[in-house]
Amino acid sequence: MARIDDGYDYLYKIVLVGDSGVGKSNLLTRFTKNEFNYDSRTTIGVEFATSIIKVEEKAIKAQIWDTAGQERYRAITKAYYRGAFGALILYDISKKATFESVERWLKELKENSDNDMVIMLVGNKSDLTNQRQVRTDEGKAFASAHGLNFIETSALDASNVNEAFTEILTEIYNQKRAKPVVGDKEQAPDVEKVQNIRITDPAKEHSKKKSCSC
Amino acid sequence: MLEPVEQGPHDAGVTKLEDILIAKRSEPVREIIGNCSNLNAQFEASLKSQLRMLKNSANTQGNGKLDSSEVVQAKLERGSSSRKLSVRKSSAKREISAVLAMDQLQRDQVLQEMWQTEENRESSKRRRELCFMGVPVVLRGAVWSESLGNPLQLNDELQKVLTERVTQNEADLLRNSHGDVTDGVSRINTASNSIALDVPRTFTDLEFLHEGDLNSRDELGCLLEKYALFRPEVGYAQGMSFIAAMFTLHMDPYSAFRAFASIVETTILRDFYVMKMSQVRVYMNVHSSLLQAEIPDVYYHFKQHKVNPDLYMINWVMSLFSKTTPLELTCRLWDVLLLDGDVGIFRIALGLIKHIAKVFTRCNQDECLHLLTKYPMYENNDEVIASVRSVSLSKRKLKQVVSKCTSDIRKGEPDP
Repeated sequence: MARIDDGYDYLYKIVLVGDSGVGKSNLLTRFTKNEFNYDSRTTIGVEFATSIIKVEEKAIKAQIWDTAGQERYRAITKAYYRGAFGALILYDISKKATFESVERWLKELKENSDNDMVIMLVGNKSDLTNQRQVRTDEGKAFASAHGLNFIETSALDASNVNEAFTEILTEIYNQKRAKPVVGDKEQAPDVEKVQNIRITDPAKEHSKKKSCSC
Repeated sequence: MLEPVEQGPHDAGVTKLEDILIAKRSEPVREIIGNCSNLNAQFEASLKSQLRMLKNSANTQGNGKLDSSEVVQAKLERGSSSRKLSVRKSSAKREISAVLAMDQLQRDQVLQEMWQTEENRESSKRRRELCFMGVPVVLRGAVWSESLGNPLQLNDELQKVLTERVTQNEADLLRNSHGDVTDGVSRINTASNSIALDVPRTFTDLEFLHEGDLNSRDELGCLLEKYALFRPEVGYAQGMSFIAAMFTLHMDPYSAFRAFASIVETTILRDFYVMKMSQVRVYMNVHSSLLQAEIPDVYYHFKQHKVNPDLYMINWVMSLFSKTTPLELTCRLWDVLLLDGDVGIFRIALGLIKHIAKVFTRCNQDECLHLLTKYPMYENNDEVIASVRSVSLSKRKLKQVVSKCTSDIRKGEPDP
């Protein structure tokens, strides 16, 4: 019987940050469920979703943390930056102010995370061509000045969404492979190589408690 | 090995969590996880008609203000005077189980009549009993108002002034949308911007909240703006819109504002909204410690799978469960919560977990968080309420745990 297997080789934690309303939650559901809600609900605190992709025959499980964009939530959300291998900073190409906040988000990430975090700048809502306030080359220039990856996406029409996540996960994979992280579990609890953990058999899962790194 | 689901070019290589969950789970877990969303159409319809009724009577009264006790009174008079249906001490238990066995329509009718008897409404013990049985939709707004009272002594005059200022600010904003703004105004504008952004993102699946003819969306925005003016030090925080919407759906604008301001002021909500992290941490630990005592299996399972309380409790508290539980269940939970304040919040959190404890202990981290973010929908919410009720938590006990957790944190002891 052909069934989907939940086995994966690596587990990488990624955070989504950016101003309120730039489309973080929709980018995430587009990626994990291929869904888009015109009226998605306001995110409170942090939410979480996972997805598995294949990079060079390795199954990589992305654990993606979606954070609330409102300023005052940073007190809570910044705790989630720690241990993350990657971050997407989103802005809305049709709202200049959200692009202007990018620098603040970047600073926030750097202050609260491990140094070698892969950061990607994402100009979302690229479908709103008529309302564009941030030119592609402005985004690109900011990204290259700060050593970030850059992509423009549209969670609405799905363009570049998978590409964005695949790119960042591949880069993390390459980075980690080039420089294997040695077992400081407290600092990076999610890096462990995970043996095929199956969720089919709860009893079995229960018996090998130790192998679960999630 | 991994075999990704091929779903056309877009999905290539991406495996969907929900598919895995549903495909790979044993029957009961699959059923519960697959049953996590959707509004109950019948309940939604009754809420909608209630809202319509509320608006109509508000319109006939002119100033958009309704006295909740008058509403109750009006409703009292409509019902038959059936004292025989009141809960008598001796037969209370038997009658409760009789009511619980009825179908929804019959039950609402009987409960309405029970609310209408003075002896039931005036005895706090009976009131409690009735709240646990679920307040009928038509009485809910009035009962909620009564449960909360008016601890801030808000009068209509103040509300009128606030409403006028909100209208004034809107007009000013329109007039000088490009002009300079003073610091004070710009701070309010930040709140206004967030409110404008979030109101359409509140209960998005509840269409009639957003339909134009009922003006509920405007009322919701106005309530939040009024609050930001009333309590500038709290302002607007994401999560508020859900709670305000629950009140707007059940009450006239003035009562809704009064209820909203009361609940924020009298519970831990305020600490969460202003993000007083030291307190938020205490409350997370309080929850953990209560969970450990009440449902140790789940506590250890969560701990082992890194399902930390801040991953769900923050969301639960800041929206008072309304973003997580199906609307009908949320209303049932609030019937109890608004009576008990903080005790209600912690008790409900434990009750919700307790109710599906056996499922949790068979789930991994993803699945646990999935269930904690989107609570399953049950045809009969009585059992969930019974689980909440089975959690024993008194005001005194909560106070003890809070002060223990506070001093533990001060001493720098590790989280439970």
